[in-house]
Amino acid sequence: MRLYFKYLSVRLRSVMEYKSSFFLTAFTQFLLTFTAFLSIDFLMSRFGAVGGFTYEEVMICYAVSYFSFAFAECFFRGFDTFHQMLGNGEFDRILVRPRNTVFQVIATRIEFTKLGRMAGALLVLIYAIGKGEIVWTLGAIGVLGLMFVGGVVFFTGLFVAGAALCFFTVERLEFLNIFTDGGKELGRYPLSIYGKEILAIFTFVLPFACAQYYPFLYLSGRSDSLLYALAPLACFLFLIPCYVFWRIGLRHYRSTGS
Amino acid sequence: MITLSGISKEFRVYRRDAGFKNAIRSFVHRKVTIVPALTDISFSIGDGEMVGYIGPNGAGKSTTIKIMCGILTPDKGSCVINGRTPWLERQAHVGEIGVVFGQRSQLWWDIPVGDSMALLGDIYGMSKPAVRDSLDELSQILELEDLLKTPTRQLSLGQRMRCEIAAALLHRPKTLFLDEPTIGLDAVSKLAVRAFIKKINAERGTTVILTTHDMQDIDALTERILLIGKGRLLLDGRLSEIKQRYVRVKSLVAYYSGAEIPTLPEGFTAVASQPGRIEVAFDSDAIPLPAAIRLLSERMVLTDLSVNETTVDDMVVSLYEDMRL
Amino acid sequence: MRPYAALFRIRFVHSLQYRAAALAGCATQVAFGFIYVLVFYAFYKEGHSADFPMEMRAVASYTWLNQAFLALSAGWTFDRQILDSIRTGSVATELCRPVNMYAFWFAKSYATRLAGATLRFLPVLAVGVLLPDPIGLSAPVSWEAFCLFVLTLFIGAGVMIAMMMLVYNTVFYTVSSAGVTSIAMVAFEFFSGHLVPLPFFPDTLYKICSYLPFASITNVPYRIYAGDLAGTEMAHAIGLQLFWLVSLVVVGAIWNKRVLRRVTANGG
Repeated sequence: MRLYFKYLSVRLRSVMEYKSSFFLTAFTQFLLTFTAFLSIDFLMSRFGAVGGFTYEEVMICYAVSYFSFAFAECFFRGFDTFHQMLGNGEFDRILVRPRNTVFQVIATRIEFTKLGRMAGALLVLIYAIGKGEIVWTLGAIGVLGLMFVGGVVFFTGLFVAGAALCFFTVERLEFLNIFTDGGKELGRYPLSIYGKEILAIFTFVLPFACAQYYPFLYLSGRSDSLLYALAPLACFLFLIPCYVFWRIGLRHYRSTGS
Repeated sequence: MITLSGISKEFRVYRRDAGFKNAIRSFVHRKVTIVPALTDISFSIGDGEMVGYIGPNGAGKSTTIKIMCGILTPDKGSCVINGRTPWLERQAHVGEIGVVFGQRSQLWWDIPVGDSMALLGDIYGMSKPAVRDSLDELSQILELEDLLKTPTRQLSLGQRMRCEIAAALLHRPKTLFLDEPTIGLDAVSKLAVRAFIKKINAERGTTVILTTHDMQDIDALTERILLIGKGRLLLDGRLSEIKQRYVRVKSLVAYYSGAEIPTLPEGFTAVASQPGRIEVAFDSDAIPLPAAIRLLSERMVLTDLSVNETTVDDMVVSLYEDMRL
Repeated sequence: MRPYAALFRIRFVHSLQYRAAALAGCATQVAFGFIYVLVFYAFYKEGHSADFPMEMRAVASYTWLNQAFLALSAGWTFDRQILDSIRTGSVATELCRPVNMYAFWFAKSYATRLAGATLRFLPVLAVGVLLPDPIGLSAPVSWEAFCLFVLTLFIGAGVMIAMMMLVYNTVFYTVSSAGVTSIAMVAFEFFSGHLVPLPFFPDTLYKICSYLPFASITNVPYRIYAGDLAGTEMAHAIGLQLFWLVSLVVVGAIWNKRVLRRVTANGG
């Protein structure tokens, strides 16, 4: 962990060499969350509710989805851009260093500009909380925290699986965006509004609903099932096959070469 | 101590013909071509040795280095370095080696070199005083003091290479792998880099394994060379012996005065000729160099003379001929 | 005109080679088509349809067309070659060619985009057509509407490229292109109605946005197709499109001449 902060500070110093470019990019990231929010605002303020959820409730779902995605992009970007590491030989460099490979992939790419995105999502969350529809007991705050963690774990799992695929293809496959960006976009609203089929896919195949929808039912008082409250933990299970796939890919890389 | 025995490695290359149909087809069934990259490579290198690992492009140099660094796993054979098999105990192994890939930087691009070094120290789990000691020693040998405060991107190629070598040596590795350390450097920087490598080898007793295309690197640094071609180890021996044995045909460029094109003595063939300048080739086994110069000077008024550099490629060409590869 | 037509042809044919990327693009576009359509469908199902400023059917057609022709109208894909040539100064060497740089870049951008759209639009449209009524792609309301749709689609792409040329011009004044391009990206995405069709914007904002050149890109062609934009309102919109195309090209071309003169004056 100490070493991770060393990496973090080195990365921060590199970024600060290009201050204006950094702040502009971070600001754009903020704008992107803002326009995405406006696209919700236009519809929600026109129609009031969707799928039985109020505007404020939708805002919380949006914030969970966007914040956890941005967090995963910020700190686990190494997997998302893994094809570059393979392409430019950086991964060979990682292999000749006496540290865990997963740790190094994470530590060498930290994308601070995504803080802009996180800030945007956080503002919306604060605004929604301020509306005061949900009673913020200690338990509720815990569940909200779990939702964020579950979302981050989910998106990270997707990035890891995508990176593992790069071992076989070398190029990054654009269709992976369907799941990463697509998941984030779907997550702007509670996942149930898209119909049963979509909800089923995002429960049993890609367990994003376990981080976003089910715990939210608990949070908003629609359900008092503890199972729903703890559903985000299921995202950790999702991480297992992703990591196994990564290990398989890693072995493949070693036997194929560059 | 490095021991490789019977190392073999094949690459599977997936081929796909152009065209949309073939792209679809290749999803289902891919044509696989197996390319042997290394065949039965065996050698051993003692502690403190400096060895040149040479061969033409695509001969398998990088593959061997990558196997020795634990990046690649061979299909067959064993490799033991300092008592460990690299790909089985990667983390422990790479803690004891240093690697410089000539064309890729291991330093962080935008921060001062000294900060990169500090981070490397942390990565290799060194204590702060150990980092300072090692860095002091290295900056004395490599004359780095002024460079440590400069961001990597502002260094010249020669300066950067010095820092790269220092970075690879920071954790006092027992073995140093240098993959084309002088590529792209100007003549002065090349000399400096060579001197540093020599000094490190002498002072720390580091084993150095060097791949290069530059025959002068080999001349300056190593006594022993391993020559590899088409994935096979062709030769393992002293540079001078090999040169003598396999580089028979030498070529000379002679500059002469007078407009007339001179006739050549027996045993010489003209490779290129223009007024005042002639390039000749001869078998140095039959005619030793001093004799050749004497013979030429009898036929023309020599104004200048140069002996063409023997390149690794020349050697390999004549080796290939010899071994009918 | 000859060299630009030739360049257009070469770029077009060259860009047609990226079939694997196109395949992945199709899949992505279909998926995003679903995401956008299903959001509106959720509101529609709940009986908000009376408050819809566009019919559900029109929204669905709009979404599928938008995804199908994304390569032609996506405001976030800048030409990296052009940006790099400006940043590195190698644009100066391109000036040696006896061509008008503005027309040269314009033709190149248009060809690349058209090729991208050509490879992608059919599969995406096919998916749209196969879907059931309110969420699928409906037939165009009339033949005239269809013809005008095709015409305005091409004009719209022209307006967007003309705007991008302005962005390229500004890059000459900055060290790094990242800032300008990324701000422009957000603006294109939002104001063109890519995220939400413009009629869903709050009324005043909608009025303002429909006068902006961004509206020409997606708003005009897709709504004409769906019959949502018709009559005098449509005539106005097409007139506005033409106005923006001409004025942006004129402004951009003149400005481009000036920045290029700056480059040569500074020695590149």
